[in-house]
Amino acid sequence: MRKSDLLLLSSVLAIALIVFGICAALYLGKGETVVVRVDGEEYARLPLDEDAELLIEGVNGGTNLLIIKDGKAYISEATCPDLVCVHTGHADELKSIVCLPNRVTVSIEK
Amino acid sequence: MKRRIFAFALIISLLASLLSSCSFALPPQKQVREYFGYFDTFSSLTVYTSDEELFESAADELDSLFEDYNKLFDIYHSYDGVTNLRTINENAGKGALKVDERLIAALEFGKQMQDLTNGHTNIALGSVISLWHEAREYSKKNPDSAYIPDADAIKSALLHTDIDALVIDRSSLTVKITDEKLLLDLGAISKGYVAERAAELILSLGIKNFLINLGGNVLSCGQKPDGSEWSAVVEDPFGKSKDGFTSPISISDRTLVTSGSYQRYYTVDNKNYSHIISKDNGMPPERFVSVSIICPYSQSGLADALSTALFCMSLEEGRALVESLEDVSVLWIFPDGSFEQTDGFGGAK
Repeated sequence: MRKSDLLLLSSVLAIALIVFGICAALYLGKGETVVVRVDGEEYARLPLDEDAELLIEGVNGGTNLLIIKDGKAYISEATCPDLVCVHTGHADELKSIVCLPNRVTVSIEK
Repeated sequence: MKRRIFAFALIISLLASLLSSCSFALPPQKQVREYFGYFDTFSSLTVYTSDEELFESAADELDSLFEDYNKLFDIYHSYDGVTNLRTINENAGKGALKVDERLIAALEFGKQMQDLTNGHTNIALGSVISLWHEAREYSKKNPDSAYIPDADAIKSALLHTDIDALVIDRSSLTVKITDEKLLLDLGAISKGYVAERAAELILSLGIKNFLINLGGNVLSCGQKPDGSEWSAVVEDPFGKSKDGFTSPISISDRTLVTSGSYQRYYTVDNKNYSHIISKDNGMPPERFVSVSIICPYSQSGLADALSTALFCMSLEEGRALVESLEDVSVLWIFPDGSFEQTDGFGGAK
């Protein structure tokens, strides 16, 4: 085996590894994500494992304050009259937070 | 030289196979479309697919389906060129009206549910429901002068709830109400009925794995791409457990519908009055805080009708009705937090 052959072989292997790595990353994803939508349109996408605060501007000037803390995402305050979104508690894979008046939803996606 | 060519060929084929396997291995992405403004609630379609175009066009078609049914079933608004429930109600006691075939089908379904539930789910209860609707809307805006409808008004409204006054002519696609004080209200079945139509639409477009949520009526078909089943929980009516009253229940190819007094209600003198009204006395029943139904996805309209009916029936009557049906399970939750469930519901904890 010549030196150039070895080079060739190792570069093939390297490319293979990189491609595999990209595929694996795409396939496995990066854990859970908090997806915020306003009136059906995606508004924000945040990692669930990083503490954060986001003031969501809903429709008609309404707002909802999203808190991500200790791996939980919830609405702490909102301008809507019913506050269903606040009382819903944290979102999980089976339960999204929905604010009808502001047309805001918060879902957990993998 | 031969070896060099061989090596190149090897590289190309390796790369090609890697790339192709990669694109095939790309998992179907979760696609979600949310809908606001229909049926006074929130709806969504969830599909795992790598075909984004197919998803978008399916979601668009579902949007028009929701829009159409929302107009047809609307009892408060009129729409240009649409003969809807409001038009029919306004013409009660007058002549027959030609209506959309889809509205005819929904009204026929309503009549069937009336028969099946011994009248507990009655789409002709509108005159009574509207009294409560008025009182609720007023009281929410004016909590200090909140009121419940007058007992005599309820009594006389109850005299105009006979479903037989609704005359449907299939062949001419006409509808007439022979009692001028009768009002139709599809609220007790509309969400489940439309969810069923929605599932038919999505399946007809070639999407086999999906979940539809129509204002809490959840329906799903097939599986998720990893082979796991779709699941849902029954909400805790007391709001104590934010994770839900039940553990996750598999609802693949099934529908889960809940009627609860905790969902829409208003308060008069520290007492809560729910939006579900009994045909027996025109009052909100208080036996349960919620009744949930699970049955095959293709019977989501039935599930909706049953959840309302069972909410208005005694436990025994409800049990007897469910036992006469196939593949329907129920969870009743009582005001004290205890519960009853039929075999096959599972999940309550």
